Amino acid sequence: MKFRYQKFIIGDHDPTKPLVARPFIPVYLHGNGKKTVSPYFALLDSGADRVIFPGDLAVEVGISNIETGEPEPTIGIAGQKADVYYHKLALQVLGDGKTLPTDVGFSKDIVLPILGRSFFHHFRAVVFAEGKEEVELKN
Amino acid sequence: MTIKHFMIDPNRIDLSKVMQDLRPFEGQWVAISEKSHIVANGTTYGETVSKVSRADEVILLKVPPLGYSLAPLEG
Repeated sequence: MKFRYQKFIIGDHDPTKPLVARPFIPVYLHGNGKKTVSPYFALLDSGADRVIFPGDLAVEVGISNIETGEPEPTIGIAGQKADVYYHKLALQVLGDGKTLPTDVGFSKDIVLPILGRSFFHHFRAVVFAEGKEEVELKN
Repeated sequence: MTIKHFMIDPNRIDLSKVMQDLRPFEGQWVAISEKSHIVANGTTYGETVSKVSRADEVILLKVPPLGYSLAPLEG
């Protein structure tokens, strides 16, 4: 499965400056007999250890209180701490029928869904083709 | 492997086309159509998807702070 990078601005918008390309993957979240009805973009982040999603996604799979999950200390590269609670759920990549059992952390402190290396483990290889600005998930 | 069995092709979406349109929605969720149009928004995923008539024809995006570089979060 190949996905093109999505491009974002950095700094004040200046048409002469290049956009930054980021590997976003569309996924569904499964759990407790439920599934998000639409896929959503999550950032593929090889520098993150785990899968962490914004807390409001939890209710979509029947979790009304994220703090019922397993807490784990989490810190960003700038030293910012986040309260993250892990639940045993599953992910599905848009276009692939397989569901991938994954510990998913929820936090009210993060600004976008991230797919860390615990997601990478489901694939034989994850290829970042920077020249093509696309990422490939190889089964 | 080719991508198949879904209603929307994510590789047709080009967020750079709507980057300025995304600015008012920083921190919110938006629903994006295959033509890279913003068709709904809300403060939560659930609120946003509830405004979409065809849930299988959009992909949702939680709009990150625009204009910033991103650095990894360590678990």
